[in-house]
Amino acid sequence: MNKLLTKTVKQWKLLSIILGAVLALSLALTLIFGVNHATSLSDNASLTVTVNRNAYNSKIEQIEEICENEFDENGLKVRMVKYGEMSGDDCEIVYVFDKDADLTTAKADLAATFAAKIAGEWNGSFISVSVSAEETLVTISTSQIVRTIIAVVVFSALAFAYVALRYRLNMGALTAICSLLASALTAGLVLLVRIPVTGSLLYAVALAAPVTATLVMLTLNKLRATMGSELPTDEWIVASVATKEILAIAACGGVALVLIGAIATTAVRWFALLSLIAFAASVFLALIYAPALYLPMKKRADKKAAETSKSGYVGAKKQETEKTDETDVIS
Amino acid sequence: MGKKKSVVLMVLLTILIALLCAITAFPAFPLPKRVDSWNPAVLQFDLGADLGGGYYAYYYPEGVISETEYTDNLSALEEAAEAAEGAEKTKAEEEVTEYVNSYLQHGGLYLSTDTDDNILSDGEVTEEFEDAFNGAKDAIVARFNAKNYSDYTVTVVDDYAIRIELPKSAYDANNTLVNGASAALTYFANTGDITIKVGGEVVDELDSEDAQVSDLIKSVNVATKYKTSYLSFKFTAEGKEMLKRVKGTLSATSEANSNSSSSTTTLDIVIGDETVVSLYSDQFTDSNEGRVMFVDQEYKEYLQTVEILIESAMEKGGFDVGMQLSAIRSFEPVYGENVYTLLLIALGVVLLAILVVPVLKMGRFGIVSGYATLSYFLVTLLCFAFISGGVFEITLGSVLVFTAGLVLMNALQYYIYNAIKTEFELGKTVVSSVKGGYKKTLFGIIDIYAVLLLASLAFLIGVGGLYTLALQMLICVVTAAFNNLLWARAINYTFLSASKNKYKYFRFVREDDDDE
Repeated sequence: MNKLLTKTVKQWKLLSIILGAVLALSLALTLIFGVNHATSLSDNASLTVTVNRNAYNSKIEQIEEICENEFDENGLKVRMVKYGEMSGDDCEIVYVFDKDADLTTAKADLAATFAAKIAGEWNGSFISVSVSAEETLVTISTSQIVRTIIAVVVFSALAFAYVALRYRLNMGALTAICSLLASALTAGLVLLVRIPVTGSLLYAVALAAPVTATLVMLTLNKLRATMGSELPTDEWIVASVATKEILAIAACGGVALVLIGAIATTAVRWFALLSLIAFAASVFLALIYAPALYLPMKKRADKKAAETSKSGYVGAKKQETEKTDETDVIS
Repeated sequence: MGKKKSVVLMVLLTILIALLCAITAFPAFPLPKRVDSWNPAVLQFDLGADLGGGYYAYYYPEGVISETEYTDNLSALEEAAEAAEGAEKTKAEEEVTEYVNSYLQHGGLYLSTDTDDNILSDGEVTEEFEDAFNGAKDAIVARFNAKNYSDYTVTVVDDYAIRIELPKSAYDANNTLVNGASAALTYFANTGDITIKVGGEVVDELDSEDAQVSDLIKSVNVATKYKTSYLSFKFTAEGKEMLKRVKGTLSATSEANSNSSSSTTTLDIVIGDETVVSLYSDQFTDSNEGRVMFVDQEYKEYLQTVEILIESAMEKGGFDVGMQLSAIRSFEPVYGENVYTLLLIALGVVLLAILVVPVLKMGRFGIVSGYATLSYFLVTLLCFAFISGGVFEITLGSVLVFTAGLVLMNALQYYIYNAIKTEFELGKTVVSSVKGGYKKTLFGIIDIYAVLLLASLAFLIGVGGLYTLALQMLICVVTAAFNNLLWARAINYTFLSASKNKYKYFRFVREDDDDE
């Protein structure tokens, strides 16, 4: 890992260009093709089978079998099934399809099939079939997106202030920049690889910022502890990166998310993947980008400090101390 | 600490944690000789729509019906026609024809052809109806937006109906109008004009065409005092003048209790045909602030619904289309019926891994981490289960923040372990190494948790799911910090005191052993 860090620590410009390119590409792709919303948030065509409660309780499996056979015959792919239940009244089975699916034949066939069943062995059941075109108005509301962005920006500002006070100004700036980038990169990568998006994306985007800040601070702790090292700046930074700790967190977090994605349902897998992307972005920024970005910051700070000492400027406090020393010597 | 004391403490701690684990996660079972059953804390969460499903309903404009309703009505008429005889049969058949002609199919909807409904003209949807529907639709979306649910959708169905889906935790299980989603769905369907009436007559101040209710009412808010919430109406100067004029004619609440409601005079806020709020004379303070609808603080959400409705009507006005609410149905989790169970299983596996791996890596210090992990698990899950009020829905974001806290806490334990190991490798005793390791890592860990705390506070700016996530993150951060900085340290001290071989405890190896 150190070999990789030694190579990358001097490449902050290249890494910045790559990050910028990824963000620009994802923005372009989103503007051209739009956001790939999950099925539950997309425009759809739906076929609704309304069934009275008694029939719903006793015959639902048979009703579903008839519907599924009909869809197979017509080459229709069901994207999602919703069950709308009401105690003591009509229940609904809503089959959701792509918005361009033609459901006319399926509807007519099913209506005829159910009518024949009701006239015969299913006497007393009430089953009707209808089709609808659905346009989703609220996917992820604008206020939620705006507030999430504001929250991440506010957090970055607070993190900058705290780290700048507790550590150093350039470390504060590093933490803030990496936090903001983490959220942007997470959103960018998810939109770029066209993962189906739901409101849960905002959770991953928001959490990427503090996770990155935490990982960066593990390195900052080590840098602070070894400040004044005689190693060249780049070697000192590489030696101080909290590689073990960050990789341990990466391993634990990655395994946890993979387990969650592997055991739970398909749609939760998308969420686990989305979270894994956020996590990977955070680890990349903390492990590779932050040390590279810190190098020019540190060099600049050192240059400024060197210029201050060259100019012969002595602070008021030090002047006071020097005067006291001189007085002591004379007396 | 003496060895005996340490062992006693260890045993007590283990029993306590085992007990709390049972309360939190032991599977549900029916209680003997009782009607109800035992439910662990993990089954008492309020779940968001993605994990717990929710409720949905349709809004149909007046004159628009669903295909199901049309088919049912038509079937009933046809059956009646079939069963009838003679002149009645003819009449019944005419009714069938009339019914068929009174509607035009539009996708899965049927639109009324009656000119009084002003929906269709020459077989085409009128511009007035289209504009009115779109205006009402935007107002309805804004109302549900203002409720800040963690997860909800609004869908237009076949151009002229609206479906709203809300999370289950927004719904009152008692199915009353007092709480939750049923109140929101019912109230927000009202798209009529807002006005103020006294004794059934519109007040004089609203007689002119450009007069608006916002000229009289400055603001409406939900206020809470002494665990009682109420709606507070503040009036403009013009509104106060109106109140001066009409207050004398208003009845007192005591008259309302003793007489029938028809003989009392109230100041009514009316939207469409519905009186939303009625104010009696004694519900105005000296500063002419109206206070009404006093409910227990627990039912505050219902008042917020009314507040949003009134504010929406004042801001956007009414629309020439009335909405009718369909039956409210429940739906299963978006991600599938068993998603919550499968997620619990997945988290269980993750928890097991996090308990086992530290023991393999860090020896008995890993057992300390295991106790800290279980403590974190218990405190956070109990808080999630028993902090009430629709704010605390468990969503996939909650799962993420819980897992992140768990991983971070254990990673920092590993960080502490490495620091102790580094101290030991310098030649210090085990006890000195432990003290040195904790000392060296203390401020670094405090800084990390301080930044995460700032993140939780910053995320309170968010709305809906992010706001809930911020509260949950606050709990996770505080619990994890407590574990890393205090609790795990105390447990470590107890276990280390009871340990016979302190080197083995940490899996340290040293040739010379002239310390202890």
